[in-house]
Amino acid sequence: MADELKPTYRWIGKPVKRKEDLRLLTGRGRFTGDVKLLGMSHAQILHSPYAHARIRKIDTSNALSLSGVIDVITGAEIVNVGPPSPPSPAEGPYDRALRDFGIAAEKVKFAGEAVALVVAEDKYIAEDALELVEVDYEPLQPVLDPEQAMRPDAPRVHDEASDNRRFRRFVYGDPDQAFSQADLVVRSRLHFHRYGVTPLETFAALAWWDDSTEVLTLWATTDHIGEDAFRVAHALGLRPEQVRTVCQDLGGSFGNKSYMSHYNSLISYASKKLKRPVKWIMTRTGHLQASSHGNEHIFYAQMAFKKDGTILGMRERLISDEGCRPGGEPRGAMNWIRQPTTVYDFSNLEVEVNAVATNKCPVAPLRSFGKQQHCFLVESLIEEGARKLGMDPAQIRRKNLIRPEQMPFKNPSGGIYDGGDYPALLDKAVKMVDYEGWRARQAVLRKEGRYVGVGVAFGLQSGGNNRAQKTIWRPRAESGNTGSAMIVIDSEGDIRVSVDSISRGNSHETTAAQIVADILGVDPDMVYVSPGFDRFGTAYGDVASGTHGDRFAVVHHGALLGAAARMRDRLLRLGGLLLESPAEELDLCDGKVSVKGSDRSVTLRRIAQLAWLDSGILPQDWEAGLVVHYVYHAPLPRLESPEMGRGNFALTYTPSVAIAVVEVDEGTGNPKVLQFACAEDAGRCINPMVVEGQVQGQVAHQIATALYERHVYDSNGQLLTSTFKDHLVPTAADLPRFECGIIETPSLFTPLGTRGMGEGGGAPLIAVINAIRDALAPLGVQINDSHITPAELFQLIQNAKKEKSSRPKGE
Amino acid sequence: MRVSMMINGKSYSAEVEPRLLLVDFIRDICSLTGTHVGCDTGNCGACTVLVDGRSIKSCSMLAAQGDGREIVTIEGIAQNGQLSLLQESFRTHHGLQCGFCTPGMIIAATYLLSKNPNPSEEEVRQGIAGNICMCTGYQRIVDAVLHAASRGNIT
Ligand code: FES
Ligand code: FES
Repeated sequence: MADELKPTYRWIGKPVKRKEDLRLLTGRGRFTGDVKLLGMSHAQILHSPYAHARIRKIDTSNALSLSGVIDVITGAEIVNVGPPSPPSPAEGPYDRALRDFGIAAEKVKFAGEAVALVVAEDKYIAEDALELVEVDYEPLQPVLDPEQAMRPDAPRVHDEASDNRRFRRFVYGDPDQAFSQADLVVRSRLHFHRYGVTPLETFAALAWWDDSTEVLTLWATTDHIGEDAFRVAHALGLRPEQVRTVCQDLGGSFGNKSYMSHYNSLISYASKKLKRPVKWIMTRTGHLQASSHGNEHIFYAQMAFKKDGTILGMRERLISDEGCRPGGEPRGAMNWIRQPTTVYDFSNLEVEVNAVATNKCPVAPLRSFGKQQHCFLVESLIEEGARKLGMDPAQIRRKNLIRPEQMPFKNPSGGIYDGGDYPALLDKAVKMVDYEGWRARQAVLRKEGRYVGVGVAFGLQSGGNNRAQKTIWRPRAESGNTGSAMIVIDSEGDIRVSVDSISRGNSHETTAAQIVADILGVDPDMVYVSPGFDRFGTAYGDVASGTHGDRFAVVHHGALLGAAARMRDRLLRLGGLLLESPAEELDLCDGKVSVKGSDRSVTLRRIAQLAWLDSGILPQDWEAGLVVHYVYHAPLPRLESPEMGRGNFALTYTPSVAIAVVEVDEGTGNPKVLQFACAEDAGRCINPMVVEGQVQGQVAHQIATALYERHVYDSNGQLLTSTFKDHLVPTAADLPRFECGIIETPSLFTPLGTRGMGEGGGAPLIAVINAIRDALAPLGVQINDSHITPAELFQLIQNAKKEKSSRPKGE
Repeated sequence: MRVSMMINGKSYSAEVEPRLLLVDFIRDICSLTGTHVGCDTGNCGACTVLVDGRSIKSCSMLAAQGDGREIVTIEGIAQNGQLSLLQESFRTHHGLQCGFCTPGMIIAATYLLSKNPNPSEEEVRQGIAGNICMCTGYQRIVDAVLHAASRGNIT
């Protein structure tokens, strides 16, 4: 389908200006917190000050007696409505997770967990009332260190579980043999820190139970707007068709907002109980404490090399700190399985997964979820291998890259890569920063006593994920990935499009219009795209609806193309009826259907009138009107073997290369980025301006993750980084200028050749860390963390120098 | 207490609690929801407005302190449906993605250019350093401001 339509592309690939900008630039966006309803009340959450404590008693009487307070809801009340939350790691069944209200009943499991919900006439009163809720806690020993949490004598996060840990082991190829043939084995303990790429808009929800229709309308800042309707319905004992989820503008997410259904259930419960609209906007402190954090991973790993740099195999023991609310599948601890060897061609590996519960904030997707952690592991081992073998870091990578002629390449777990030219991508990045030039300059600068390093890193980002991945942990019939689009042309010829997704700043309205405009032969300005999502109004997509895992560029493009192609056929057929010509002799362009090689034509408007207002002349077996709803499904089958962890887990695999040049100041430890470039293969770009914007955002995030953003808990489990004063977010004055380059090698598997993009697979972060490693290599400094501060670098430099000078000469 | 102020050339007056923040007056009482709230510590700048021509974080000021003053919010920047040069430049340079920081950014940059019509890149970066954007990495915002400055006549 795509190929025969290709020649007509007029808008796909153009930097069309964004449709959403006009409202967002003038203050007319509608974010969830902007929505007001008659009789609206305001809710605030009381967060636990303890990481781990039993709740002996909650006294709400003082709070309730404050004038303007409508209700105070506690976990004890919720227990009586449904089973207690959250799901335990031992059980982890789907149905229990569905009845999750995110409020502690008997025990709090992390500092920040909700213990009470106050509903009041205004938010100031609600805040006052929080201070009047008296909670009697019995503090318990918190479980904070994931390695200690795995010990049999560790206190348990979930009383009902026998263990804090879930465990699986996966083997591909023959790692024993590979390691026995190695010339070099590098061994590392690596740590990927807990962090939060926080969206600027926090969580918000506005629930309205309409007693007249018995429908709950829920405006919410959720990425999983389809699934959350089901979750809320189950939690409240409603049918899913009684829950209408809505979101127009979303103030960023980066994955953070994919995990809020428990709060949605809580606010919805309050509205249904009180029969009033209830609005809740999470405070920033609440959000940093209790939304979700990025995955914290500890790796014990080894990589086997031949003398010439060839990678033979890898062994990995992963300890994933999931925080206190484990998912059915360990969150983020399994995403490596889509791309175990990332962009490299080796086939022997062993991965041991330990998913561990701790008394910390739950983890959830954050840009390059689980993949950047895995790429950090692979790239760190390669970096170490290069150093030990005396090879150039770019060279050793080039040697092991999957080559374009191997595409579609099947990786050891069965993932089928959708094309791409990895060596060309590396060449591009190398040129962008003048890699060789920097190497020469580095040699000179080193002699002058300056610590300048060049860091290279590859990232790989799977997009359009196979639902079947979950079946590794929970056997059931699930596979594939779907996206929906609807096109309506009304009787005046106006075109309206909707998709079952929400834009989190990713410009869906604009790119959707470009695709439809191309296929229907109109200008994108003529295509109205519904902003946001309304479960009862926009294209229906069931549980899958929303934006997560790079779905838009994968399944939604497929849906838009499918719907537009079907609409095009309808228009040609109806046009043919009016022009008395067979469809093959007709063209659709410039808003008209015309007979090829003649001046006879009819406008879309005329055709639309026929379809809606003059249907009496249509043959009886033709459908009247102009409405198309198309549900695209990605070609992703069930797993070959869930037990062995084999199958194709995603439709697109997007490679990125980043190269950073960093100078570390010897006196202060301050790392200064001197130059930075990132190249990404986005497949076909629908709108190159948008793609570059996404890649720039990704680069900034990941530089920030390496050098700024880190969540820190103290020894009592208190989060020390719960405001923007302590959880550092870079400003314009902190970030360097960087260069982003896009190459377009069309995906072999998506209908338009697009791939998920703008996540980077961790490449920018790892490049920064590798550059620092390279800068300090002359001192023999080891960096095993994905995050580093100037103070830590200063200390490492001091220690290294001391060690050097205390070493006897000649050694 | 009664508080009155001009916002975007229109007068607003309401009986409010002394502790009401200016940002809540603007958003909740005047229904001008273009001004956003992104934090509770005065760090993000999403709530930036012009108070008597100076850029101020409206979450760090009481409504009572706004009494009798002239306020400009994002809704007052475009004139007669025409984007300002700076807004237009944000659009052509793709200086916004989710748009949540955008109102504060536009106000902060408008203020910057009113003080310094010809800023260097460094001055632009410093000038908007009170405003956090989590989406763009700032580069295109900086480019948009520089471009608008090069076209001159910003306010
Ligand atoms: S809301 Fe963050 S500075 Fe005002
Ligand atoms: S555009 Fe999203 S925070 Fe700036």
